[in-house]
Parts: sequence; C-alpha cells; structure tokens
Amino acid sequence: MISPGKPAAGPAVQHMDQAMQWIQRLSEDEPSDKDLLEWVSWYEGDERHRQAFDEMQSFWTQLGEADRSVSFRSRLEALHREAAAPRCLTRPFYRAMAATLLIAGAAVLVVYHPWSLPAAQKTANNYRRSEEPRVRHTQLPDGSSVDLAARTLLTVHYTPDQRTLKLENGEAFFSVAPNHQRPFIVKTSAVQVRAVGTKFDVREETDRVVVTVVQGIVDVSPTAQERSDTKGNVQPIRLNAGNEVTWMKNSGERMVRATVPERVLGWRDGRLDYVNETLATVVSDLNRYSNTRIVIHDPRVEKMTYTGTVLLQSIDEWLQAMPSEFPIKVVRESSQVALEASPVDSAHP
Amino acid sequence: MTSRNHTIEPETTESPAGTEPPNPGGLPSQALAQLFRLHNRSLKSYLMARLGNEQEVQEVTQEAYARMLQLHQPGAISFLRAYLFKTAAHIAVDRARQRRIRTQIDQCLGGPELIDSISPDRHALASEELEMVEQALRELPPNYRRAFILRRYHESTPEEIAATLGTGARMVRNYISRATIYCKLRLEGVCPEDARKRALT
Repeated sequence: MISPGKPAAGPAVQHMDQAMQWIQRLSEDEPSDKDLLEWVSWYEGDERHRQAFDEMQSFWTQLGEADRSVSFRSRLEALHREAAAPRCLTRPFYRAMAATLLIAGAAVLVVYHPWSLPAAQKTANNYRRSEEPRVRHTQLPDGSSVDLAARTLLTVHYTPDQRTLKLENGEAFFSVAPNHQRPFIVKTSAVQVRAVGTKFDVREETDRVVVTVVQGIVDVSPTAQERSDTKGNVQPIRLNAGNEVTWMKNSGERMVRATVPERVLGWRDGRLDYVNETLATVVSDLNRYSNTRIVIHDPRVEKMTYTGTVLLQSIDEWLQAMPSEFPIKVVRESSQVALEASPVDSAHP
Repeated sequence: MTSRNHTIEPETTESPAGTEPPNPGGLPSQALAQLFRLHNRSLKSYLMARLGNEQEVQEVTQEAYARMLQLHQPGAISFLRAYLFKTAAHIAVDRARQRRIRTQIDQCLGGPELIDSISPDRHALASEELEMVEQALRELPPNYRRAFILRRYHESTPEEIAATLGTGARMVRNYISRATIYCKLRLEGVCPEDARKRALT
C-alpha cells in the first residue's frame, strides 16, 4: 500500500471528510432514526460518497485493530505522552535548545506536569476519566527517567559536570542512570539530594520534604537557605534503600524511618496509601489530584488520622465515604468541598 | 421521505436468507428481494461502521432480513427501507452491548483478550504501514494527534476530548477526521507537505 510518489487518486478530501464525519456520528451514541436515514440518503445519493465512506470506514477499522500490535500501542502511548507535554519537549524545540546548549554550556529543559502551567496556558481539567495521565513519565537526556506527580514543577539543568534538577512543588520519582563523573542532584526548598545510580522519591510539601530511597544510596543535605534559616543541627544524612527521611523545613528536625517503598510510591499507580496519617496531610495530597479543592476549617478534623488507600480516580467516592468513617460531614461550597466536624450526638455509633 | 433516484448498482449475486422464505401473510418475497437489491450494500456499509466486524455484519444483516419477513403490514418501499435500517440498528446495539459485556467479563476474569474475528477480506495493517501511521501522527499538529489517539485508542468521547483540549466537540470531530485523512494520504504515498495542504486546510 505504500508506494512513494504515486499521485493520489480516489475520493476527494471533501468526500473523505464527509465520510469521516458520518463514521464518527454513526459510532458515537446510538444514532437517531433521523440520522440513520439521513445517512442512507447521503450514502446512496452519490457513488463518490459510497466510495469515500467504504474506504474511510475500512481504514478507520484497520487503525482501531492496529492496537493489537503491542509495539504499536506502546510507541503510540510514548508519542501521546510526549505530545501532551509542552512545546519545549517536542523535537524541533529541543534541537534549538541543543544549539544554545553548546554555546551556554548548560542544557535547560523545563518539564511541567500540565496542571502546573500558568493559568493562561492551562488546559481545561474538568474531565471525568483520567485521559490526561496523572503521572508524567519522562526520559531525561542522560538516560535517567522521572515520574512527575500532579502539579509538580521540575526544572532540569544539565551541564557536562553535573546533573541538577530543581523540584519546586509536588513529588517526583527518579531513576538515575549511573555516572560517577556526573553527580545527579535534586534540589528542593530545604534540602538537596545527591544520588549515584539509584531510585528514589522526593516529595516537597509546605512544611517538609520527604525523601524515600527504593534502590541505592542518596546523600541528603540542607541547602544554603536552610542552613541559614535553622542554626541548629544541619548535618547531611546518608540514606539507604528501604528508608525515608522527613525533613521539617526551617527547624532542621529530621526523622529517619524504615519504610515500604511500594506504599510510598502508590501514586505512580494512581493510589495513595496512608497509615495513621492526619487528614490535613491526606487532603493536602489529594488537592494535587482533585478537580475540586478540598478544605478543612476545623483543627479537630485536621488532626484525625486515616489509615487506608485513596484511589486517585475515585476521590469523590472517597469523600462521600468519609462520614461513615469519621465524625465529619462533607459540605459542598460554591467552588470547593469542606470537611467539617459533625456533632457528636448525630447518628454516629 | 422524498423519493430519490437510486444510483447504486443492484446486487445480483447474494441472496438474503439462503432459503426460500415461507411467509404466509408476511412480507412478500418480491418486496424483500427489491429491498435487498437496492439497499443491501448500504446496509452492510452502515453496519460495518457500527460493528467493525465482517462476521457480525453478516449475522446482523441476516437477522434483520429475517425480521423483515415477519412484517405483516408491508408498506411502500421507502417505509420498508426505514424499517430495515432501524431493525438492523437495534440488533447491532444489542450485539454491541453483548460484546461489551463479554469483554468486561473476560477482563474481570483476567482471561485472554477477546479475539475478534478479522474479516479475511480486509487485511490488517502491515508493520511498515503501522510505522507509517506513527510517523504520520508525529507530523501532525498536537491537537490533531491528541484528539485522534484519544478517540481511537482511549475511547474518549468527543465531549471528553473537548474538555481535555480546551475546545469544542465539533472541533474535536474535525481534528479526528482530518488526522485520519492525513494518515490515509501519507499511507498512499503523498508527501507530508501535500498531505498537510490537502488534509488540514
């Protein structure tokens, strides 16, 4: 079917377009009787309509069945994810960047999750299914890769001597390609994480930074800003696989504990797992993924602890189930949802 | 319905039901034969668009004609045509529903993928053709590509795609249509510039 240079014969584009419009209409909801008979009239009214329809219909079906090829499907997914990223990741722009790279000595890629784009560029996010991936997986130029959670902003500065990444908000999971000559450093507001050939997760929250190591070893040390903000114990920490450190900002307090990384990394599979976590934290996490903002006005509710799993695609359902687990009620306000304490003498056991 | 001059070729080779219809008081076989001659191709084409599967189309068509035979009040041919298509459409919907349920059951049970029978008449796209499709999609502007992939491979509705892309459903259908036409032209050997000119303007 591929014969380069062959002049295009066959139906005119105008008829192909009519045909495609019909194909879509007929395969969406069940067509009304009126639509159906309108189609019959169109189809039977002109040989060119018939030819166009049959050809486009056949092609459309072939394209649908192409999905069965695993390699086609995965290449298309990669293309789709790539395509959903902002312009700076598409090839022509990257080539331009590569040119300035040679001059400036540094490559700058800015990797956004769509929801962190400035308001003017924001795509509408009132969709029911997560067609937009809530987790962005990106390959970096050195062979490392990063998964970005929702509303996460990561800036990448690669130089020949060093790979620096700045995480400004949210959470990211890094798989670092080993290169002893070129340290991989993730900078957050309070700490920087230095890694060689590891897999680790960094979560930046308002009051803390949490680093979890899945594989390998990282060094976590305070940034200059943090050093001047705290004046206390600011020794770097070396963290092994299976451990995480919670670094409280502005106080230098750190807590290292063993963890089950799979639980921490559930977000990459679209779920958040909690063990005895305050609702304040849970809601703060969920607000990154929820279309509707969730707020807690009552400090008592903030302190309630939750153990369980939230599926990121079912946040509404989770909210609706809350009153059966906690003495709270879910109140829909104009543009947000509030969790409020519910009176003790209400119908709660 | 206003009557139109039918310009399609009457079909002469196939027969609708395979056996002589024994229909005392039902639709006269002459009327059915006329329906068949005039509209069988349209019917099949329509069902193909809805079902995408040659075998299903065959079965639904048979079923539709079979039901037509039960009609006790045959009317004008235009009425019969409408009735034939409506009947076929309803059968198609029922079958699509059954297929969805079977697919859901298979998925729940973690079974093997439901093997749809591909018509022996229509070949699947060869791997070079698949590469060409991927290449063509790369060449498209982002919205065209995204709308196409979401519709064809993620089963998003136009409304959902419209919300995702920040545009209207009509524009989405336009993107999908043009993207498909672009891919087809590229597969036929039209170069990117010409394909772009023809498909996207």
